[in-house]
Amino acid sequence: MILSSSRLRSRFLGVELENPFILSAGPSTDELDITRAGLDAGWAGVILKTTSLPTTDVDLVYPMMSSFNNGDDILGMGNIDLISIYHLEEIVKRISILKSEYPGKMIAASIMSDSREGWQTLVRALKDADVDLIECSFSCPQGNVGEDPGKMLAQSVSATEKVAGWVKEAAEELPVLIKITPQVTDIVAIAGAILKSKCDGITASNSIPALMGIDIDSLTPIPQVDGYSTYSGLSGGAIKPITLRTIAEISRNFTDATISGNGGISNWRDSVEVLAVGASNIQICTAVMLHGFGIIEDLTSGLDNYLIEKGFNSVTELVGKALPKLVSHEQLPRHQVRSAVIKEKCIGCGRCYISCRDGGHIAIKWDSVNRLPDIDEEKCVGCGLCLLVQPVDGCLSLKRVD
Amino acid sequence: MNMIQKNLIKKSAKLDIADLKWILHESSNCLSCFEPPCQQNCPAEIPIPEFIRSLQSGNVGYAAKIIRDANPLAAICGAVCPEEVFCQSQCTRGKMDNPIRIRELHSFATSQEGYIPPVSASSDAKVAIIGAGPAGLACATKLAEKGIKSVVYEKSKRIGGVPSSSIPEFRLSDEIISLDIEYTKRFGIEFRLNTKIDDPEELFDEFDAIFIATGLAQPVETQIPNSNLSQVIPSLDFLEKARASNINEIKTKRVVIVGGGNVSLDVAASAMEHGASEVILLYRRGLAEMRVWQSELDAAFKRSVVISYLTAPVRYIEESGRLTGVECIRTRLTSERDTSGRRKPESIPGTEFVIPADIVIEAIGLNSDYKREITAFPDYTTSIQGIFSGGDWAKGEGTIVEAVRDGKSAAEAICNYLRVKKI
Ligand SMILES: Cc1cc2nc3c(=O)[nH]c(=O)nc-3n(C[C@H](O)[C@H](O)[C@H](O)COP(=O)(O)O)c2cc1C
Ligand code: SF4
Repeated sequence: MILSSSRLRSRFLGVELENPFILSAGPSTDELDITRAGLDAGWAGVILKTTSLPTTDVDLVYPMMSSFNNGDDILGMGNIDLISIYHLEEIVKRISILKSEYPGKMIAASIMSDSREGWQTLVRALKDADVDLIECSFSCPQGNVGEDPGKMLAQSVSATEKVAGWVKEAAEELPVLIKITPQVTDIVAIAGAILKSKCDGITASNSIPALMGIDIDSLTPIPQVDGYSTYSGLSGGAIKPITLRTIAEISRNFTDATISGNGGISNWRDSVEVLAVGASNIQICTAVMLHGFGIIEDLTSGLDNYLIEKGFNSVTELVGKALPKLVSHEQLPRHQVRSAVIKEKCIGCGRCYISCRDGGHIAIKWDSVNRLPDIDEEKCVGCGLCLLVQPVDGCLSLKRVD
Repeated sequence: MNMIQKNLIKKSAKLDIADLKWILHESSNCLSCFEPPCQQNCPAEIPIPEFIRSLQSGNVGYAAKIIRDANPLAAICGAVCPEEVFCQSQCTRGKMDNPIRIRELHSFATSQEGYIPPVSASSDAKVAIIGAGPAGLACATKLAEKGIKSVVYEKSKRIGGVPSSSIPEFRLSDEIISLDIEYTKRFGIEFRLNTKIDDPEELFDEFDAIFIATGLAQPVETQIPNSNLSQVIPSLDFLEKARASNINEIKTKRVVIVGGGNVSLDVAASAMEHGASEVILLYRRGLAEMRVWQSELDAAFKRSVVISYLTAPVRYIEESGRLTGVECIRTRLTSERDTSGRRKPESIPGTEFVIPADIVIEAIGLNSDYKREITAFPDYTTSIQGIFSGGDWAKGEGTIVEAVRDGKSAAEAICNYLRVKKI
């Protein structure tokens, strides 16, 4: 059991974190006892599920969960949940309790409102409860509360800047994170608006509006609620590549941006990737919902072992380490590469042959007698498709030929 | 149960979620090889990766159809094909980890087969088929698909041949056999049962071509002294009676079997199944020399059959007209090899001993008892124009799926013949 080590510890916006793993706003942080269990299991902090003023009507619908799978594997999860049914007063109470019970942990709250007064009332009350940090949900896939239902605040540059400014005005010294959606035309513009507002950091990013599927028996979209359905927030492994791009793009454009990574992180390897593109820590929701709080042990020990193996003294040293190698398409070096068959490893399935024939450049010849593919170097462009379908590691390789 | 799992169930069947999950998981492991070696090694040439892909997408009706189109005896072969000899032995996946369990996927798909519309003949040509076994049935269905009507003659009262007469019930149930027989009945094939054809050429009065597929029915004789005792039974007689559950006389008896091939294992397991008190199989060589399938060995060992290796029978012992035992001799393997490449056994003088026995079953092979004056050629023709042949009668003892292949190929050859003859 690792849970914490000198390498895993960091300071995030002035808050001590014993490890970089935080429970993000969601079901796992919506009941006091469940939240306690998470902290007891070793999570470094919690962001309580998004709260609001009592005037906000939170009208939940059940069932709310769905998934899309490959066989038994859940690739992505969908929910039609809304923010917490617990309003400000209850959350303020819980913050005080958790703050006194767990002095070494980060106790944060998430909020959503529809007016300057609303946002600021929430912030002031939580500040008085001595919350460590406030996260603002600008990105619930069901939309923000207010006059423009279905729209997310973080889809508008001007609204983001304006509302983030109101929050920071009330929060003063208290650190504020703005939780954004990747579903925008220009993520850099949104991040720029947040930085301008003087808010302290960005949570990148929330679940993504999606239609989880159609039950082709009844031709009803999924999830089914009495024969009807609606769009879900897609989370879990499926969205990790989008999360990586979102964080990388913000980091590349704003070297001073502070980012909390979230969206599709399922294991310590994912967390290494997210840290390497510029996040300072990791928030997780779906992986805990699917596998329980216990994953924290593998997350912390896996990450710690990785840091040792790679010679990093702290998790902070890892942040952004992959960014220098990320360039725009025009900046990529242009080389001649060709595929090569490593005959000793080939098991003779011929999948590379089929893929190159039907989706590449007809650059693989096939020896039926010996069941061996052979690359036609004249025709091969080095696209790398054949390497994607190789059944065993290393039966094909790409080599530079110029 | 999710949508794909639901789609996999087309017929009510005893299936639980675990079965369905296994089917989908196993299907997803198929590499969909180019020029798939599994398919190249299936005598019926079932497009294996294609049916597996359809299983995986929940398109089970199509998976079953792909299999059925290639193999009219899909249910029987799904149950008893020796996968370790055919498809599965060549699966590329086996070079990575484990071969796909192709026969089991095939068997599952076939068990969920949907309605198959009947086919009716459109040509005037008529073909006679002698023998309602796997080769004959495969030939008749393939001819019907091409619009050609056939009449199938069968000397026994049953359709199906070896599968319905002599494969033990515990390996192949009546229920499975009837799936295939019902399938062939959709083709408007006429069956003339209890009809033995002594002279095939007489059939030319009524038919344009003839297909001989009688199989083998004459036991190879052992030359062991006293083999004329009534307690010494040929394998085929025993298996036929066992299949018909007509062998009470074996209950609590000590049985010795002379053999070493798959049929002898069928006989041994069957004898235990029908209540023999002990079954000892005598084999001249060792386990490594046995040309048998693992599934057959497993079935025999599971039923506590004892195999006495390096043992040859010398004489059946008779007392007042009854068998009381088998005199045996120990053998050893010499460095000399026989035509099959296996080391030849020789007896070790002075090692004679007696195994007490109430019944002996001889299972050392079968010959044809039918029209040996006609010569079969590899291209399914024979020495007589218009007569074709296939299956065990033409090729010697083989498997059911090989008989199916012969039936299919012979149908092809017959069609060409009729076309050239403009019939
Ligand atoms: C059922 C459910 C409820 C959620 N509720 C909230 C919420 O109230 N506020 C919020 O900011 N995010 C909420 N989220 C989003 C998660 O905090 C997280 O941003 C998102 O699921 C992506 O991360 P993941 O892939 O680790 O789950 C919820 C997610 C789920 C699955
Ligand atoms: S050989 Fe095996 S892996 Fe390849 S196509 Fe056949 S079943 Fe699939």
